[in-house]
Amino acid sequence: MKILLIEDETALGESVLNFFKKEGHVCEWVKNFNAGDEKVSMYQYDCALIDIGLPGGSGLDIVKALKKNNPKTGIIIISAKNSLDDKVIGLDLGADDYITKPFHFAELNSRLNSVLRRRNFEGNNEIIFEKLKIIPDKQEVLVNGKIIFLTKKEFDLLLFFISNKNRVVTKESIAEHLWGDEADATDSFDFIYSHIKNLRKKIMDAGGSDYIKSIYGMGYKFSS
Amino acid sequence: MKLLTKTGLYYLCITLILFAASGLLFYFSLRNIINENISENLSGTKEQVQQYVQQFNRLPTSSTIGSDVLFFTPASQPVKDEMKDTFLYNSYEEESLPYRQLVFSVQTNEGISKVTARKPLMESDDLIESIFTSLGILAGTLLAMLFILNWWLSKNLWKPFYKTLDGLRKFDIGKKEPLNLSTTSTSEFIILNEEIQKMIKKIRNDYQNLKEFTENASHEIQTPLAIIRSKLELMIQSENIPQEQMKMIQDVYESTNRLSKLNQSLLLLAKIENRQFHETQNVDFKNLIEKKLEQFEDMIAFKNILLSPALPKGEGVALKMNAQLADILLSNIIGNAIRHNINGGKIIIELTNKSLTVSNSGNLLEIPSEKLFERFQKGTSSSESVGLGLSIVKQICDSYNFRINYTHENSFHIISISF
Repeated sequence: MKILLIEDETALGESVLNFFKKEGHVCEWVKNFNAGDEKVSMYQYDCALIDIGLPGGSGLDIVKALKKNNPKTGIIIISAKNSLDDKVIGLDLGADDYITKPFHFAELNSRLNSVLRRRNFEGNNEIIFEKLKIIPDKQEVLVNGKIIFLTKKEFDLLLFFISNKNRVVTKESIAEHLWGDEADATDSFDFIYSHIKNLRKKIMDAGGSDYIKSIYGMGYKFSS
Repeated sequence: MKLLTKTGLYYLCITLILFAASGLLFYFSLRNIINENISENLSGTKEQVQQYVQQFNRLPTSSTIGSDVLFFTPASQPVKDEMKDTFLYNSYEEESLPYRQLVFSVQTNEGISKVTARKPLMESDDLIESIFTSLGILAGTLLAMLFILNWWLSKNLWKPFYKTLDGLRKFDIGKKEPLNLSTTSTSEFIILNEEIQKMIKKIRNDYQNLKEFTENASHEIQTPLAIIRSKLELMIQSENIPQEQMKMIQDVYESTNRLSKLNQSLLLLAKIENRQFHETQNVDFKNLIEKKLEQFEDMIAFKNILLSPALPKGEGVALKMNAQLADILLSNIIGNAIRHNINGGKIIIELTNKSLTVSNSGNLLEIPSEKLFERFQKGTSSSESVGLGLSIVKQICDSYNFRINYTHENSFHIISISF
C-alpha cells in the first residue's frame, strides 16, 4: 500500500517510515504543510497520516484538500493535542481516524489496517492467516472453515494480533487497545492474560496452531 | 471598626479633652478677672471713703458711697490696709458665702475709725456650672455636626472607596469578568483604582501564564515521548537483542508509559482548570456507571472483587455536566476503588438523586486523609499510579460545585460526592 506521512518531527517521522517500510508499505514522508499540500494534489495514496500542527499551516486544511481531490484516500490524523474539538472537527472533515501522540505502533498499525480494509474492500473483506479466516464486518472467525465463537474482547484481540502479525505487541498496547484508559485501574496488565489464554485455547481446540507466543515479559507475538 | 467610626471616636476624645481643658482655663481666668474687678472695686470704695472724710470730716454711710457693705468701728490706732477673702453666713440663702473684704482706717474729728468694706465673691459652683453647661451645649452641637459630616462623607466622599472594596471582595481570579471599580473625581481614589487595575492585570497575566505553562509544557512533552516510545517499539522488534538488554528496554518502555500517563493527567488537570470543557449536557449517571462497570468487568474479575451496586431503580440520575468529564470522573473513582482494593475485596456503589458513594475495602492509607485529594499524593507507596486520579476527581467536582468527601469506616474507604 502507498502511504503518505506528513509529520514535522524528524525522529518520529523516521520511526514511522522505518516501521511502515518493514511492514511492506511504500511510504513517503514530508515535513511541512506546503510539501504535504503539494503531494496530495499531485499523487494518489491509499492512506495519509497527517499531523495537525505543521509548520506553514494546519493539517486540517490538507484533510480538506484531500477529501476534495481524492476522496478514496484513507486519512488518519495524528495530534499532540488530546483535544475533543480537534478530533470532532477532523472526523467531521472526513478523516477516518484520529490518534494522539504518544501512540503505540501496534495501535497505529491496527488503525491503518482497519482504514485500508474499509477503503479497499468496501467492507466485504476477509483476512486469511494460515488456517484462520476472519471476516471483520461480520465479526466471524473460521478455523479450517469452521466457525469458532469468540467474545467481543477475544475477537478484537485476534484482529489486533493479525494486524500486527510477526511483530512483538506489548502488553500495554494490547490493554490500551482493548480497554482504553480503564486499563489503568490495575497496577499490572496481567488481566489480559486470561483473554489470551482463552483465545489461544479456542483456536487450538478448533484445530489451529498455537500462534500466540509470549515474548519475555514484554508482550506477545502472533506468528505461524 | 469602620474607618469613619474610628475617626469619629478620635474626634470625640479630642473634643472632650479640649473642652474640659478650655472649661478649666475659662473658669480660672474668668474668676481671676472677676476677683481683680472686685479688688479694684474695693480699692475704689476706699478712695471714695477717704475723699468723703477729707471733704466733710465725718464718716459716710453705706448708701452715700453706694457700696454693698461698709462697717465702721472705732480704733485706737491706724490699721494697715488688708485685703482678704472670708466666708460670712447669709441667713437668706442659709449658707456661708464668700466675700472679699478690705480693711483700712480713716482719721476724722472723732478719732481713728477702722473701715471694713465687703463685696460678695461670685460663687464658684455657679460659675463652673454655667461655664460647663454652655461648653457642653457647644460640644454636643459640634459632635452632632461631626456625626452628620461623617455620615455625609461616607455616603458621598468615601462612596468610590467602598465600591472599590466591594469590587475586590467579589473578585475571582478564575473568572474572566473584569474588575468593576468606581468612577470618581477624587485623585487618591483614582490612583488607588489605577494601581489595583494594574496589579490585577499583572496577577491575571501571571496566573494565565502559569496555567498555560502547564498545558504547553505537557503538549511539548508529548512529542519527545512519542519519539522515545516509537524508537523503543522498533527496538523491541529486533530479534537479536539479548534477554538482559530486552529487560532494560522493557523497564525504559514501562517508565515511558508511566511518564506519558502522568503527562496526560497533568494536561487534563490544566484543561479542567482552564475550563476548556464548557459544553454541558444531561448525563445519565446511572447509565454511565453501568457502562463503566462493564468496561471494568475484566479488572474486577481479575482481582476477585465482589461488586454490589445500589443504583436507583427505574429512572436514571441526570446531571448537567460535560460528558467527557463525567466519564473521567466515574472512571477515576471506580478505577481507584479497583486499584486500591485487595484481592477478594469488595466495592459498594450507591447512587441516589443527591449523591454518589463508592466504598471499597483496602489497605490503610499511608498519607493523612486530608491530603488525599492533593496532587502527587499516593495512598499506598506500592501503587504504580501517579497520584493524580483523585486530584482530577476533586477538580471536576469543584468546577461543578459538587462536594466530595473521604471517610474511613469499618476498614472501608468511602468516597462520597453530593451533587
